[in-house]
Amino acid sequence: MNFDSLEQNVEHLGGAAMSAVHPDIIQTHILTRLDGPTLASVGCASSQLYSLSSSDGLWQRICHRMWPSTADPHLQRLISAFPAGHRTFYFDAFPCLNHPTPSHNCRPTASSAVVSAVDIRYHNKLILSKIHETETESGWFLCSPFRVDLLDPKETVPSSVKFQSGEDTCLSDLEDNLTLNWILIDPTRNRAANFSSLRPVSVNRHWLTSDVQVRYAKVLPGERRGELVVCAAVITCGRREGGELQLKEVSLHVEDMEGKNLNGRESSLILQDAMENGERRREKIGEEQERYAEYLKMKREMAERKQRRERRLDMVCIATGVTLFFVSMLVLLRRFS
Amino acid sequence: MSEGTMAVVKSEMKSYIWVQTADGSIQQVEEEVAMFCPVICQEVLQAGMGSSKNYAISLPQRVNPATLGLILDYCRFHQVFGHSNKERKTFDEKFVRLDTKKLCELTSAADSLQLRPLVDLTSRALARMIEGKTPEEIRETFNLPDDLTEEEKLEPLRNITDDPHIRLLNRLYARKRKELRERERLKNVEVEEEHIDKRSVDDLLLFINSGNGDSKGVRATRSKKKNRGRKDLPRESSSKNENGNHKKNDMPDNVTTPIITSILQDSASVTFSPKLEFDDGDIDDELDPAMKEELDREVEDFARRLNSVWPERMQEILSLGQERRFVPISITGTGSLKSYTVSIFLLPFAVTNDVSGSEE
Repeated sequence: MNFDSLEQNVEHLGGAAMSAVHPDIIQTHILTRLDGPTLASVGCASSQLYSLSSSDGLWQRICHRMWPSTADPHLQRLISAFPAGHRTFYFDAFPCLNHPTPSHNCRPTASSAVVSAVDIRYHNKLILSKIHETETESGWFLCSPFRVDLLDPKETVPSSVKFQSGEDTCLSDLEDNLTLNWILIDPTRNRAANFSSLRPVSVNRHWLTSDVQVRYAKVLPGERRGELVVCAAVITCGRREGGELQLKEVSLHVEDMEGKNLNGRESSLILQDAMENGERRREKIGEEQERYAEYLKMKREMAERKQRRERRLDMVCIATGVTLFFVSMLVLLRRFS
Repeated sequence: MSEGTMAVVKSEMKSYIWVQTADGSIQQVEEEVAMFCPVICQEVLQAGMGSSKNYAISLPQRVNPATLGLILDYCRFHQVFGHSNKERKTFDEKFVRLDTKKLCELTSAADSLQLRPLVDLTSRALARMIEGKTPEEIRETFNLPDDLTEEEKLEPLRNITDDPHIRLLNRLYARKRKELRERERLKNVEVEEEHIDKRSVDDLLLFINSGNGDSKGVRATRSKKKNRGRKDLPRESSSKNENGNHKKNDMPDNVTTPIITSILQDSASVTFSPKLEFDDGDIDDELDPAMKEELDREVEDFARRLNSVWPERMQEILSLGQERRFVPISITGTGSLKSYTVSIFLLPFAVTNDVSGSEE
């Protein structure tokens, strides 16, 4: 085709424009200004860019910018053990985790710990950035309800960011502008995943303390077929005298369809399964809300079914009791007549 | 202007510095403008060069006369203290509206002259140009050679963008990889080189995912593969059969849509020719490299076909208002390759003509 040959001629004349720029410049000036997805695209363009963009330093900067908690030295050591360092970590943690069906391979090795890296931003200003390590081997952990608490019971985290809205619009303001990134890292298997949804699934005011509870959820498959569980992160925040936002509680737990918190063993199995086998993709807005709504619907249906079963059981018991009563009355009458 | 006349006219004239570019041409530059560049400044002050034509300061190799002109324009504007920040910003914005080649040359020239603000400006402009582009677009913009294997291309983008296109490609790739691995296990052939190469990719490739937007135009005319043995396998025949079946399925479609006809025929002819080259069926110890090549070729072929058909198909579908049909197709990840292509090509055509399904 004429057009093709023309193009090729132009190419030969022009040469590669990028080769005019020294690789050092590309790396130190241009690639450092790009964000994650763009850097990934650049890495796919040509072999020179592929090798330049695989530098761990670039990805480390990107990870730090997104999740400042990853700057912690202990976490740095864990991440360096990942197959391609920060790049693998970014690809594991940045996209949205999607794990609709459980995988059925049994895993013989359980991991010894799971590390949570949490970053909370309000109106794009960082208010909390913390790491927490939870060991997962001891008997106490396995039997007790799974819960990761970032703050001590009496501890509160003040922030310098004022509430940007009045009392009445406070809830919707939090829903739109409070973002949570809760990344769980499995050091044994070198996997990581972000278990928080992009936006909160519910924002409620606590009936007693008038604090606001913001809930982020990730719906995962449970151990049994057709069962759903929710990995929920809850942030409780209040308002200080000066009108600033104050965090009172930041926690993570896993709930099943009856609203019961799962114990450590089951939760860690579910979470590790999701980290290993979940697919990662770009998050669509509202997707997590839909899945959470689906979860709530299933929860309600299950509760209704349970209620109906109990009512039936009650009826059966009452019927049996009444029958027995009449039968005994008849027997007694017959005896006496 | 000769030295003598310059010497005579004193305070009215500005003083000039002589610079020489890599191609040998010498020109004069106003002193204040030239002093804005640290390199020239250093040469003048330390080495005392630039005062006359014979002692012209030779500029680094990457500065050619056209670029020098641009740099001097920049320096001329910025060394004046009178301009406000806003004016400088407007000037900068207008200044970087160049084509990519000039911008790249400007960046390297500015770097060699150590003009940090200009390097920042041009890098920022280049970064802005790169942002949001797919790899193919980046390659087009910067005239880069397309010299990665399919695997390397797909690898980083898998989880980040959302092109259904790439999702299919990735699934195909992952399935082929699984087959490869199974065959490896069956044969028990150890190719160490392969293992080392694939290690990081394997780890990353453990999931099938919802892919990334890549290779809108993987019309890779030069599909350079790595230098491995070009030996053929008996398995080639089975994959050939698959491809053959694809072609058969495509034929009836070609009759009805003239736009796609030529492209499909072209791709058909292109894919058949490399296959014919490998007709010597020698089973060999080096199974993996050839398998890898086969895999690359298949993926590329699939990508090309998908690419050529996809945009037209999307337009058709949008105009017919039947966009939704694609969603279930791309999500059903199971089924053989044949059923994939059959369902993709046939379902939209079910509306326009009566193509009865599989002819295999």
